[in-house]
Amino acid sequence: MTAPDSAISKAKSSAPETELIDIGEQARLSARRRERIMSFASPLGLLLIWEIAGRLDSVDVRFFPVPSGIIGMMSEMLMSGELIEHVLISLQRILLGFLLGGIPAILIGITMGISRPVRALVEPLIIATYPIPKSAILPFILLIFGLGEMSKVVMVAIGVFFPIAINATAGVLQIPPIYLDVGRSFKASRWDTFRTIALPGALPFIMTGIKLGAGLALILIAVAEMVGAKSGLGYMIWSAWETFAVAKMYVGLFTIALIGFGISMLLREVERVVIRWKADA
Amino acid sequence: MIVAANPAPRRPIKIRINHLTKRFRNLVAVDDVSIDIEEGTFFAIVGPSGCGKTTLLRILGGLETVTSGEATIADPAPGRPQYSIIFQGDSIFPWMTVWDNAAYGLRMRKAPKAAIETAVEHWLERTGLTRYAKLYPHQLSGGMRQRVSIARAFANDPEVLLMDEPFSALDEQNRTILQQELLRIWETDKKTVVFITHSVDEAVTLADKIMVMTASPGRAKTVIDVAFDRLGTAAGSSLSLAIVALPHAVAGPLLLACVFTLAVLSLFTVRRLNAGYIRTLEDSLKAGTASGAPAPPEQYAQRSSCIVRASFGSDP
Repeated sequence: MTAPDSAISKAKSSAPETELIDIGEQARLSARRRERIMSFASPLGLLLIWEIAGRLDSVDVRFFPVPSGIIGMMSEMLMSGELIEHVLISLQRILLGFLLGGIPAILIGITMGISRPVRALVEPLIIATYPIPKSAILPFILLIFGLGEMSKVVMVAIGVFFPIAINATAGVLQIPPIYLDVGRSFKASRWDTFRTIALPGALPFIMTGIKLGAGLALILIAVAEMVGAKSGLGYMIWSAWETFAVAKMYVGLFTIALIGFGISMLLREVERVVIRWKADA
Repeated sequence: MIVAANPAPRRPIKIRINHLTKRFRNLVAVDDVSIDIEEGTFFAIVGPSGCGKTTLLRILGGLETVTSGEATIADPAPGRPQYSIIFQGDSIFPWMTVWDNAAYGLRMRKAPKAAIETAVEHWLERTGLTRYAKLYPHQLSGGMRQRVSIARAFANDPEVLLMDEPFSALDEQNRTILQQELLRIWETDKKTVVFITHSVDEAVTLADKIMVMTASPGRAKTVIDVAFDRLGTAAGSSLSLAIVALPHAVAGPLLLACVFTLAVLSLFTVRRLNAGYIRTLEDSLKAGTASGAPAPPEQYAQRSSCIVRASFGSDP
């Protein structure tokens, strides 16, 4: 009588317990897996419907070439090196523009946050120029910088400057004043205050500015290259339209989307590293 | 009102506050306070909130300007910083690790790398933070963060420490521990300390001299010279000695029992005496207009051989 009893209690105590944990774990895992599958399923499903509709002639393939055709065109352009060339030149312009606009934006933005007189001087200029659509100043930029590389870089720079500068100022202003007192009490120099307090304290805000700037940079590089360039993804899309190479146009659109995705992934990683001191990071 | 802390100073004056007045628009935060603080004194300033004690400390720390009068700290020896401040509440940088926070003062005065390393490691050790050196402040408790703040100030090795209610945000238990540790650290190198607190209890526990301030306008009411001999600490350390000795004392249990009993007894006595003294001091604070500190109770002076001198300021 005792033997089966203990067997039962053993079964009760060990087996169901582990099983229960397993079920919970598995339920959670499978839910996550299901969500991941779903997030892949919706774009893939759309492509599939598109493909089938194209093959059945339900959509006009002159405007909506079937995905398999686009992929074929893409691999063709990859082989010939044409796509890589356009991607690289666009990325180079974005990167240079980010440096040209972002570094002054951080310096000016933080200085505005630290110094009231500087803020009083510079803030009206920023408020006045910020609402001008950046695409609307393209002709002006072309006038000043010509059709060379500089005009494209400057467009990106102007685009990223505003969100980064505005966020840097806001970032400094939200730093609790006690940290500045600490800096003063330890006789931190102006540069040290900037380097060790204002910049790291404002960094979470600056990262938000950079992420906003990245989106703007992609828009502006595409527009600038469509109008005043002989290379880059914007030019590629525009010339595809002019020659009615619709598949090529889609390749350009798809590539830009891919670059945007890549940049935001990269920035998310950068953010995770540079503000790992945040409680919720 | 001039409060002469001691008519015949034995040690050089480290901090001189002379007819200091600070006004914020119409509000008089500090009203004509004068006090000299000798080198090596643990000087507490006690008073209700709004009595200008924090303003006084911020003026000493160069974070506020004076309206009239002066507040000066004697020039430091070459190569040493004049003062460091330990702030009320969270003041360590959340974006730096414990180690980098502790090194901040030394880095700001461009100390050589090796010296920074030695000092930081020493003070992290002293404050019990060595294990947490690589952590960020959000990973620490409030008490730990305040330890970092103390390590940062001490690692800078200033001649004067300005402390603005450093323990007021902590829970009772942590406060007591940190008070004891602060005393232990202070005993070894006897820096001049200006310690702001609203707790009479804390002031009596820690300080040699206590200045009592009254609110609106902030005036110095009294300066109390507490020659306490820090019996409390003595009792505490013999108690901890007994506890440390516990495993080793198998051979002499009798001796151990004696030490232990002695420690507990002396701690108990000092506690009771302190409590009585604090009560009288608090009563005189409540009375408000009372122009001086209470004389210590008769039996207190006799039984513990503690001398409490009070020097009285007179209102203008």
